[in-house]
Amino acid sequence: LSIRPFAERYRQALADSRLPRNLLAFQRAWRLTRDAAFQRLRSETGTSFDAARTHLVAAKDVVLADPVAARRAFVAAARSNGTQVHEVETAEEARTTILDLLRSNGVQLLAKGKSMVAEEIFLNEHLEGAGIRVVETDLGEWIIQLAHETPSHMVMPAIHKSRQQVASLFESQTGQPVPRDDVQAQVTLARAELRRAFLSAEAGMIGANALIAESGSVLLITNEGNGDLVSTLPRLLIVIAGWEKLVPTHADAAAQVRLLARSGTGQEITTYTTLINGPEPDCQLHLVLVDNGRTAMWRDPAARAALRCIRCAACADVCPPYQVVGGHVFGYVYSGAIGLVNTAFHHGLDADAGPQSLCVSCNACAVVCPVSIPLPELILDVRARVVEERGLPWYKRAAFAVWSEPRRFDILTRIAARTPGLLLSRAHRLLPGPWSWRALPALAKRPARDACLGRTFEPDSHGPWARSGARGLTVAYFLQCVADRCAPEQVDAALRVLRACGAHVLVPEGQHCCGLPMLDAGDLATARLLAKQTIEALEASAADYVVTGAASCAIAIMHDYARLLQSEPSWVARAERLAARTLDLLSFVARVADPPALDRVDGPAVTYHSFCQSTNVLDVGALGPELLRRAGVDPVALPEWDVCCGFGGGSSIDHPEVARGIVQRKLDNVRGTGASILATDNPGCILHLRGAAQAAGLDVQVRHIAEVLAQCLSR
Amino acid sequence: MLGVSSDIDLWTTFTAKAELLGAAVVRAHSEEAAAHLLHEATPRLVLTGSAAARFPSIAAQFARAGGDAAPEVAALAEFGVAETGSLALNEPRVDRGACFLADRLWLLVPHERIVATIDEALLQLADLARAGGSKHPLLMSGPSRTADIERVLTIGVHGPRSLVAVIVNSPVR
Repeated sequence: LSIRPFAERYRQALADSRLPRNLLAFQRAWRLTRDAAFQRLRSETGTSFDAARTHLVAAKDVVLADPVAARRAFVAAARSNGTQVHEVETAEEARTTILDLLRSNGVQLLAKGKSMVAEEIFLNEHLEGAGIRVVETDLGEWIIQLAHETPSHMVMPAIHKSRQQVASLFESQTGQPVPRDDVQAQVTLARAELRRAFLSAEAGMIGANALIAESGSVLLITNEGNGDLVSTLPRLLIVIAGWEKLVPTHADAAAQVRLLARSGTGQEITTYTTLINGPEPDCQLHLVLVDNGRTAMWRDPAARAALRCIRCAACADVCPPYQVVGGHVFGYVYSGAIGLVNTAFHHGLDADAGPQSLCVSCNACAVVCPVSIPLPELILDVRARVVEERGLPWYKRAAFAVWSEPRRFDILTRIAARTPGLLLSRAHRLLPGPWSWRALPALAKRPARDACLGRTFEPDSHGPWARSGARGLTVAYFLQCVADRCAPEQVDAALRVLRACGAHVLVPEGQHCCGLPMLDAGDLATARLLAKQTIEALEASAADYVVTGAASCAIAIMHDYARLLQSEPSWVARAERLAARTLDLLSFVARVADPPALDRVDGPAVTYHSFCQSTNVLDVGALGPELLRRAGVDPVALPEWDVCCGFGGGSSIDHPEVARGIVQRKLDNVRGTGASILATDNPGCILHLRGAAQAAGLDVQVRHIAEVLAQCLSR
Repeated sequence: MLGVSSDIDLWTTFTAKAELLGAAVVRAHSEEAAAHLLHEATPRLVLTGSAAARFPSIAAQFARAGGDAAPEVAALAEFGVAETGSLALNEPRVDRGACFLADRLWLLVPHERIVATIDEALLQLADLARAGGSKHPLLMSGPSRTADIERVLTIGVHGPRSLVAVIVNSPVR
């Protein structure tokens, strides 16, 4: 089976208008049931999601601390149960081992349960090419087998198919008319069709959800019952699993059971939870334990954490770009955020080059991952490898050549702002072609730095927030490129809010770009250069705090610098010292200043969108509405208020069609609130949202929260 | 495991959870009452060997499960799990196959056999495997289900379309 090139898959997904609608409904339903399931876990057993995942992470990390020992223990226990274990290094070796087993047992029909590893090694094509009939018996897998496709979701393989498409596939398989809209009838047909396979197959194959080292058992977690049928009826059973499925004990397996069903489908438990402890009498049980890049993954100290994955697909279920294009595009064989990480190891960097470029770094996946895999970081690692091998796209190379040189950047942006003929200065003009959903932001004629760089501003001595917890503190303010060059009013407002809170504010000289755009693009060398320059500029100031109204850049300083500079210990120390006194504006105002609540004032309706990373990385999303309330504004709740707006740094330039899909979801939600002001906390997102709202004709002002607060305080 | 004092609470929790999963739960105050109930419901029921051995009064009224698929099968559940509303099945291969191929599966569980949590349940399953019953003990939590077509929840795709838990008060054997 050949997976078509990324560009072709991308085009095909965009041409399917039903796909994003279905996936949006799916993601919304998943979110509700998943959250409710974890709430019940907490209320009924006292176990929080965090506690449950801490347990499972610890168990997985015991294995990852010494996988050789864990494998040895498991294999010894499995063999003592009578299981014949085949440890294989490569996909080819796995396929050959399985084919030999089937041939030597005279197998003509193999009935399969669901296995992502079998998909990973393209097993079916290989076996069928060798003359062995393979029938997938999981309903979703059977559908995609009939369609000659790979799964587009690890838990719901055929989530991209409509019931009408399923009906057509079933019709061509059975030669009978199939009801096009009746899912129950389609399932009944599958029950009858696949029953023949269960009863006549000479061999069954299943995957494993966990391999329990202390007993040599295989844990199988399913809903349909096909896994138990194929592991019970034929006398030859083959289990195929990657060794990362190892857990030390049954208690650890129980922790996985608790997390997997809730994270996968929002169920408390799936229908069947089976422990396979060796062959039944007069039967054979073979376990094919696959490496296929896992050891290479383990040797990479960062990627190692990805081997904790339990294939729940929660990372796909919250992913904004996945919702727009689906798993055939946002992934390869494995889909969702984890697919963007492990594809590089199982199928090579080329297979991952397209999919990885879709990640918007919103970090929603890391929040719901039941084994705490730092997925966004690992995707950026893959991106950096792709860039190292292939270079940057020309437009990024050209932009960064200017951007990385403070003087050149300053001069060129000033010229562009004053040159009527340059595209950049044409405000509110729609962009061409695939970018036409967004009006282009204008460069300000006078950047923010002209009014404040190198200056110190005294605090307000009067005013309702003047005696807050920030009184007497000194704040060094980081301007951030977008606000500085395109939206100086945001900087002005932020400085006013800080001063209103009683802080001295200074704006250090020598500051330029924090390096986030380059880090985001995978250009680590330039990102390091700018990170060091920013550290030098900011550490020189004798301020109590470094604050910026650009939450994305605060996060770069607070969370990314130390990792970015990890090969240079002296810089790590400097990065950590800076990070320790850096805060985004929201956190500083709400937590350090902690100003008193003012009387409510009537005004235009305001709604609040939290920059995705403010919620997902800093967990400060709720501070936005809280501060608005303290300033006398009662914001209208925005549905999906913490879901990414689609800006995603450079990804909205690389994949404008995806950004368009994501921002339309956001604008639909905003439209539903009836608010006339949309406040949020990150300049890049503000310009993106403003441009999209303008192009869509949505009458809403997009403002930095500092602007709304400053206006309240000036009343 | 299998405490006594809180059995009633545990079965109450079990019942609520199992019903949420789409299973039916009935109680029989004796083995004879269970036999009567089953006979009223479905005279063509067949019993697995382990259910027959555990409940002789019921076994007397029904045939044994064989190699062929039967629409109505009753099996022994080793224990219930309160946390999840699950029942543990420890049938040898052929009888287990009959359970999975049935349209309706009756799981007969002795009243004194219940554990509180999924942790205890997995440890019990491991013990059952070591004790040499089935090599593939499992927990069943409601009827077979799928949502693979457009996320529409559909019951009874491959395994039993309906699952009935019968909690039997009977002398401990």
